[in-house]
Amino acid sequence: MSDNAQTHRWFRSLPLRLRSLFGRESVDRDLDDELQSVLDLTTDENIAKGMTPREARRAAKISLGGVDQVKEQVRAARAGAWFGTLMQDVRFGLRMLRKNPGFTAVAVLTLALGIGANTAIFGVVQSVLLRQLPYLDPGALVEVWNSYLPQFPQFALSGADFNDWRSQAKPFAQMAAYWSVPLDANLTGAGDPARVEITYASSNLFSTLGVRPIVGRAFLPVEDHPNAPDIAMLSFKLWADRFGANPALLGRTITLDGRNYTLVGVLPANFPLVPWADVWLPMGLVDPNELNTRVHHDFNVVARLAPHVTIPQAQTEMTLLEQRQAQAHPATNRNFGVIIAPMRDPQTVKTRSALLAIFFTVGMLLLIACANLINLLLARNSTRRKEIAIRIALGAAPLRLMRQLLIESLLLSLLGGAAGLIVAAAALGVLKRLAPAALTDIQTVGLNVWVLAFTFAIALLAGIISGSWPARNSLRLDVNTALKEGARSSPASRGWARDSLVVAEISLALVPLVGAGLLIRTFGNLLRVDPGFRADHLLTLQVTLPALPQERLNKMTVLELQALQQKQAAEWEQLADRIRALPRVNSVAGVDFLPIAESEQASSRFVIEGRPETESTPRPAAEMRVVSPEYFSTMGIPLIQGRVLAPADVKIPNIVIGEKMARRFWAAGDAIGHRINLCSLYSQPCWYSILGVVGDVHQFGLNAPLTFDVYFPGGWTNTFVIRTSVAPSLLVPSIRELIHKFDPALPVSHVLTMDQVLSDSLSQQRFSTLLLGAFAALGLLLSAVGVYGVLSYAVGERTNEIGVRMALGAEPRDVVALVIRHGAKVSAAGITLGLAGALALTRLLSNLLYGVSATDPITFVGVVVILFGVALLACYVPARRAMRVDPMVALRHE
Amino acid sequence: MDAEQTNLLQGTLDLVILKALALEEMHGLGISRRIEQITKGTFQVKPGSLFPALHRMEEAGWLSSAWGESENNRRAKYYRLTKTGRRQLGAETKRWSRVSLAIKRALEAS
Repeated sequence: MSDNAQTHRWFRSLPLRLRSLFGRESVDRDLDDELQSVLDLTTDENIAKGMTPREARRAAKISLGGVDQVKEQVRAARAGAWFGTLMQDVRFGLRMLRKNPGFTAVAVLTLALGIGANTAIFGVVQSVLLRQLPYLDPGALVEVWNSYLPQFPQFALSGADFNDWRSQAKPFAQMAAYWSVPLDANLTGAGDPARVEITYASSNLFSTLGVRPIVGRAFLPVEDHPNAPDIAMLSFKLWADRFGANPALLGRTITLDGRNYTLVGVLPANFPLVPWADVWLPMGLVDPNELNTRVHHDFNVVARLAPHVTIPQAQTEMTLLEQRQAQAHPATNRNFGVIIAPMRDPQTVKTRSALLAIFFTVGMLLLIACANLINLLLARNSTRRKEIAIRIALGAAPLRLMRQLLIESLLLSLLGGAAGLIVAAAALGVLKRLAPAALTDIQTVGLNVWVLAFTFAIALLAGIISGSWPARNSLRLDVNTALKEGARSSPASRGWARDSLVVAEISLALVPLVGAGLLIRTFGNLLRVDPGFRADHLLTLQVTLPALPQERLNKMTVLELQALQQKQAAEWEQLADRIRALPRVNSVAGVDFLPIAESEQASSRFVIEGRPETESTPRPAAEMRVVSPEYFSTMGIPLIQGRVLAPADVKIPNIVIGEKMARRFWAAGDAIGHRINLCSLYSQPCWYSILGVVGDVHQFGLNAPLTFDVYFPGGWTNTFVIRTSVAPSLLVPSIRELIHKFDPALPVSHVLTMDQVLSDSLSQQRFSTLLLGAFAALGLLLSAVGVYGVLSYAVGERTNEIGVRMALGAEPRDVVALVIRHGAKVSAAGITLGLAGALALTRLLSNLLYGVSATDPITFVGVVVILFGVALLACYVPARRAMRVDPMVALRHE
Repeated sequence: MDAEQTNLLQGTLDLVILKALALEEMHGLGISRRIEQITKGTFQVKPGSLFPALHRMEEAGWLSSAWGESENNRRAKYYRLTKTGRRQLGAETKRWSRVSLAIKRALEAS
């Protein structure tokens, strides 16, 4: 029997053998059969000796002894022998790795990079993306939103609509609401005064989610209605920070802006629904005007689907309800839509696609590392051909040899995995420092059991993937020729296998490179976006006036309210004047919502005087900002037409609008002097005259679309913007001191330079760009190592041929060209394949991109040039080595 | 049956099994009979020792096995030496000769 045939037979019986390893049952059945046949044979023997069949059977049974005992002994012997040879292979494998420290180090390092990157990113994905929302059956929870196209694709519900639907919506088992905007209040009576954020919740919010308070009770249905008692629930964080997690505080009162609330309960620590909320108040305490309005949209709504209802069914039914609502309340609800969406984790909404792209990239990275390892093993095993051939000739079972080669690669990959853990721990440290603040979960990522199991699994997988092909390959040899050959050489036909590996590596490296290129282009575009103002030398800080109790405000007449506003504006001016008097302060202005940083919408639908409306066109909405007169000059927002606000305008309904709004509604450039009604949903209109047009400002971030902006002169504007003649941070201490002297009770917060505000707004993009870029670069490096390895090997193998060529008169130049041509051919093939993959996959990135298409030709060309350049560079070193081949030495080489 | 029962020395069982299989493939009972025959009844290998040894040696790659028919048409599992087994037989034989020679010398020394 030839060795090839023997190998072949062994491979065919491989499934059987694996079954005997793992399938105890089939081994047992075989053993049963064997012992039965021994019994039969012995019986036959005994009958031949002259016993009766009965005696014969009995004697046979006695001689066999206890069948179960024999079986047990056989099993133990098999396992022992299997384990024994396994340990032999492991010892041998370790010896081989020790004998080739260079090879071992390169292989382990390559794997450690691949496995480490995967472990770190898996840790992040596991704790950030795979986290189940801590609610009962979260799959049945949905979010309910309004839409008002084309301006507002998704926004909160009004109190009145929520209350109508709560009783009418059949697709939902429960429907609950909470106040969508943080309301800050001064907490007193529990240690130092502190700013806390308040939200309101409907009584069924917690039961809808299936969350129980850890102490005390949730709100009661009666507390959803006006005249609810003054009660409050605390977030776990506030309870722990301010009340020392003391369960005995139920029934005690806390004071918020001077009003007392009795504590009834505490929410669990893991309750991510409203991450900013410190104190929860019952919905009944919301001002009745807000509770019954269809004008203001302040309630986020969650619902639990009724049994057997799907999201599309719920969507259909709710759309019908919304249409009925639009007929009943055309003034407020016409052209509204409703959106039913699966409930999402607020933390991961923005990072999900970026993290998945990064996870995908590190997956590619691991495949490249495996391809490198395969290359290394192929090269090394071919130098061991003689050893293997001798062992086969001496009768080593090919399966044993294969197992031993596999064990060597598994040892490598497990070592790589262990080293990968170190890489991962270091990488996680860096990730945590770079991560945007919003991604709080990333701070808790550690190497937990799941992560370790994942690492072990991918290490095993990497070992098997990279080990089996080279192992099988090295057994598929013809012993006779292998023994006759020189120890080093191997048939040239195998070269295509390694070449195809390089093709694969380069194509795998190209896809993440294109992804990273697109994100870098996006980031560049974002940096180039003009925010609409001059961000340098601007300091921003918040100074909040204590809120007046709502019932006092409600009782005021319009005139009293105006008087109050003017009084506050005068106070604001006083403080601003003092700041202006500081040295190195150029100008001071105020705004209620700072651009870029703000996520809160303060928009209102408006009607233009003298323009009839049609029913089918949605009424446009404007973003309203209250500013002090110097706002435009301080921010550096250019005046385009008319004039800006003056102090006297506080008493007159005058406004300034943004350029986008002016162009959209007064295309002829005649916006000045026109009037718009900004109270279009109320019975009393409020008409404002347009005084001037200013440049557009990105209110909601650099990549958010521009809005229709309306600026009013106002009362007290919380955010101070201060233009300085030196670095703004230098003035912070003196300004703080000044405000404290002005009124010690005024809290100062959110002290940031405008440059910081801009930079913070890009932290998500910066994080994903940096990460994807780093991993793509690592992929490039690893694939370059792969190209280098294969070409070095090829040059080594062709030393002979090169020597002959040079002896026959080939110039060094020709030799270099020979090698480079080989590398270029392989790289070009890899790039072509990778381009196809990139074109198919980068589309998935499109929601991360800004100002660049997913098939951006510049990125694609750039990546191709870089990749090809690096690949050629990797060819150059072996090419130079080939050039220096000494023909005499080469020819003697054999 | 009254032949002197001699316990197989540790390690010699493998050797006699390998030796018994050196000429042809055999089923378990045949191996046990062959050992009795070549040792002139000195060694009687009980199933409780024989089968664990056969399976262990198969696992180690010295033997391979296949189902076949016995001379009286019974189904039986046949064992045969692999190349490794044959090599093992050579190595074990050498080792055993060395050991037994050494013991013999030790005993003859006085």
